[in-house]
Amino acid sequence: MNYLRELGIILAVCVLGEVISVLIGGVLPANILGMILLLILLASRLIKARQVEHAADFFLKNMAIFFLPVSLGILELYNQLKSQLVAIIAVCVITTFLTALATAATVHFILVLQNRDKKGENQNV
Amino acid sequence: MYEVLTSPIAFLAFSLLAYSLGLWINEKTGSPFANPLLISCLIVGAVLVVFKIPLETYSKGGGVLTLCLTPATIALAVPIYRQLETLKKYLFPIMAGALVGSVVSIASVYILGNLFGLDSQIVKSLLPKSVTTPIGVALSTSLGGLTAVTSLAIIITGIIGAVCLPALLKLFGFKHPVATGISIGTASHAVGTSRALQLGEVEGAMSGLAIGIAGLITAIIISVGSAVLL
Repeated sequence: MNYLRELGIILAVCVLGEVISVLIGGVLPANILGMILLLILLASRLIKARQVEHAADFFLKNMAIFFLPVSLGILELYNQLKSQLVAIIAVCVITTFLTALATAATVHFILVLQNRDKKGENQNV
Repeated sequence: MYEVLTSPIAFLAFSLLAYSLGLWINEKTGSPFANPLLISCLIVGAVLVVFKIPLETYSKGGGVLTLCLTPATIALAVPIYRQLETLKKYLFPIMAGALVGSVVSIASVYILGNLFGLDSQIVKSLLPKSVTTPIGVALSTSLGGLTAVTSLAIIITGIIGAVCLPALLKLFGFKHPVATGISIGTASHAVGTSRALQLGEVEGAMSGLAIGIAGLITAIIISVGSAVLL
């Protein structure tokens, strides 16, 4: 395993993602394009999982800390938003719960339906 | 002395140690409310406020961490690749879940934001709050929102997701790892995913996948919606 080469590959994919994002006029951001690109490279075996997985695991295991500086942005906005901050947080909490439950319920409901169909087919046979 | 203690390296060291302390508290208490990001944010934030250090000074060191956000998102391709069979097997429920979740997110923000009497510009800034930061900020700009408010709402949403969603989903009896992963990723993007990765590889990969799918769906809904309505 070569940490530097692994890191180099992932950063190169970042740059390619940026390039594609600029070429398509910024319709999609570089990180999503890079993620799709790396997935294609892995699925087509142009890059093997073991050639990037240690560096990838480093980023994934520590993902939350990379959001720390952005999160501190609240310090600058606090005075400007003071009067609406409680309402903003309330909207964020309620809508996050609603979104998560609606998503989980949809996946759950379809899985149950698909299972029932399969059982139905088996009974017919 | 002030210069030495507020150097980029000093802030980077402080951030890493504050986060490590958060991880340690999280391990010791085992409570989801002891979220490492939340704890480190409170510690570093308190020091910046008490010593009146401008955010700009902090960002010279902290910026190194922000720089890692793009490769961290791209790295999600690895667990998704490892779970490619799961993705193929559950393609329809995954797509349907991310679609319904994205619609519910946008609609509920619009309705509640207006109900709570927020300024229309703030509501616009909150609309893309469930998606990953680069997509959310781009959409907020195109709607005429305030990008700083959007980033803030995205982070708050992420922390709420990481702290509360695993317990909430369990409470409502959703146990399937695909349902849990897609739900956390759709509702709370990469910050939620950082928690989903701890639940299991399937949950983490599905959550990472949902960041991309829900991001794309939200981008399409908001772009098309604003073109039709405005």
